[in-house]
Amino acid sequence: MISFGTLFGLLIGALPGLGATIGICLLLPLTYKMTPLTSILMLMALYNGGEYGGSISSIILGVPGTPGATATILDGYPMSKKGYPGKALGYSLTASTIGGIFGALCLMFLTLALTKVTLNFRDPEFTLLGLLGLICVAGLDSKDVYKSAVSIFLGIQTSLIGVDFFSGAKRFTFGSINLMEGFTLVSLLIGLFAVSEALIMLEGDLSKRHVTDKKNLKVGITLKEFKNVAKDIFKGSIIGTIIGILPGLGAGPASWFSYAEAKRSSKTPEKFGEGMPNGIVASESANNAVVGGSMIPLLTLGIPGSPAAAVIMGALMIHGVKMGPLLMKNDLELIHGIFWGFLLAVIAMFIYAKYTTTIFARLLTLPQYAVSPIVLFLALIGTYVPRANIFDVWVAIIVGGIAFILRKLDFSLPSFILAFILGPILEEGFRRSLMISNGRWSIFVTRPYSICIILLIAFMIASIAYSKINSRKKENGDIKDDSINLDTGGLDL
Amino acid sequence: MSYKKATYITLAVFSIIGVVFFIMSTSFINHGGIKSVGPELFPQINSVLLIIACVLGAIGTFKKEDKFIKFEKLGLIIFTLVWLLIFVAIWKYAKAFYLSAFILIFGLVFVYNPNKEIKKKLINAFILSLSLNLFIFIVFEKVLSIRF
Repeated sequence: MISFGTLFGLLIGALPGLGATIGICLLLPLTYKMTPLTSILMLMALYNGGEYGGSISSIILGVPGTPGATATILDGYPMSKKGYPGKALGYSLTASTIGGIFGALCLMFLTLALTKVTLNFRDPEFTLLGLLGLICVAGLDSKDVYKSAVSIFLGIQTSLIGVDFFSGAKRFTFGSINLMEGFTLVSLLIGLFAVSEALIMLEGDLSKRHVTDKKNLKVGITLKEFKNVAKDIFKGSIIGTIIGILPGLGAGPASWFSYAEAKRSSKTPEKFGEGMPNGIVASESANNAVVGGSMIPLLTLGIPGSPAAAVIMGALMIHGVKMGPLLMKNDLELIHGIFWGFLLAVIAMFIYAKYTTTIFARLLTLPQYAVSPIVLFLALIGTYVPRANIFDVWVAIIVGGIAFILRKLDFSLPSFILAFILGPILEEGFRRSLMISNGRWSIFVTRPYSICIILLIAFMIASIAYSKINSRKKENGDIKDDSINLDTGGLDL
Repeated sequence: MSYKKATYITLAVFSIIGVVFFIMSTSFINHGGIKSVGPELFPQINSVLLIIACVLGAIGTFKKEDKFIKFEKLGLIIFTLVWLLIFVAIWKYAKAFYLSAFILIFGLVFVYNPNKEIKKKLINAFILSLSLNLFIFIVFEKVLSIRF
């Protein structure tokens, strides 16, 4: 069942718009006749496979397969367009496997300790984490920080459309029933990245094939290439595990946090977005580490760390398994089975993905005039599937047309989409914090964890300001740049 | 088109969106009854920040050198967007997903193909269109039980 879950997860993740959560829902009925251990292992294998599978679509088509793989597009797709899809997928697979193993090991050895720390995270901390995320992503785009800010506030504004969860007020719905739940993340993701990218492709040579040498389809990296990205894989794994433990965040923010950190700490941040291997591994290690991380609060407290973990919890409740502190005490056999089975699932993902991913990469041997319609069509299908609502498809097309123009004017689409994801978390934490403190803003600066996050925010702002001053000096020729070739991962791009 | 002009227009549109959202948020009813943290607070803060960012963006753009933005093959891009909208319209109003999908892919592949031989273009478009429809039918309808 681990093999079946992994292969199904790879397929589901690779198809745009679906993702692990929908995949788990689709396989849920199959678990009724299984034992609890078999069910959870199949679903966890699917979750893990799905998070890597999302990168296949991101790298080959430039269409995010899952929200967690959106950051992977920034460097994975350019590397693929340069004729090295196998290499990009190799970096992704290696990072996903290591991230998954790291998450599994944390699940096995650090479950109780990590849960104690994150139990202390309350609404002020979640608000500040949301703010930290937005600052990280503002720093991602070094072309125009004001336009990044506009993108962020526009993203937050878009996330506010719908019925307010606190008061029930209809906000910016313009009387439309389709806007009562607001825009879906999938329709915006596909419009912003897939449709706009397909339109940009039309401006190029339509008879071109991205891959003419079939040896570049082989999925794998060398030891030297691995050494150049090992640090970012390790950091991404830590970030992904921690974000996975925090309920409500999930793989999307984890991959962006990790990507932003990799860019910030790189000696050549200006190369990110052009096919930097470090960008790919940062995103992918984080989104797979989330899988193990999200199971930690689920098993120990009965609190799912991500939407997919919530569905897995549902599957176990059907079997009469009650998640929480007593599970660790009363059913140690199940817990050990989960730990070791999950580790096996990560290894299975590596083996299956290494040989099946090349099939997807072959798509790039087709000429551009065939690839563009395939990308557009699959992307629009992916938009329709989550809600079975054609309104989402209209949104994706219109947003895609607008995003095509905004890309020409250097507005930041990643900033917009991350602000859209973090906006509700930010608002919910902000309003609840103020309600708890009776309107006193000091709640954000009096708690120890909040102060730590504020210091982290200050550090990020200083870091972004420093790197901007540095890059301006480099442009003016004040600093000799002798670090150009250090972080290319051994790949001649 | 001038990069600066296009940026000013875009920022002006976003500022207007900010103003409209600010005005609309003043009419939100707080059913929760807690006035200090009503549904209008966050949208209003965000709208003001959006307008400020647009103004700063305009000032930042003013300081930069202008450049020309080129839209290559604009006709093809407009055709694609219109063709996509027609695809969705046929799907929604005629409730004929596979027919509209076939027309969409056939039309796009035929128009995009730079080959001068019409017969080859027609065959390519037909084969790709049919293959993709079959793929969607098998994977989505049969395996995943998703109906269009």
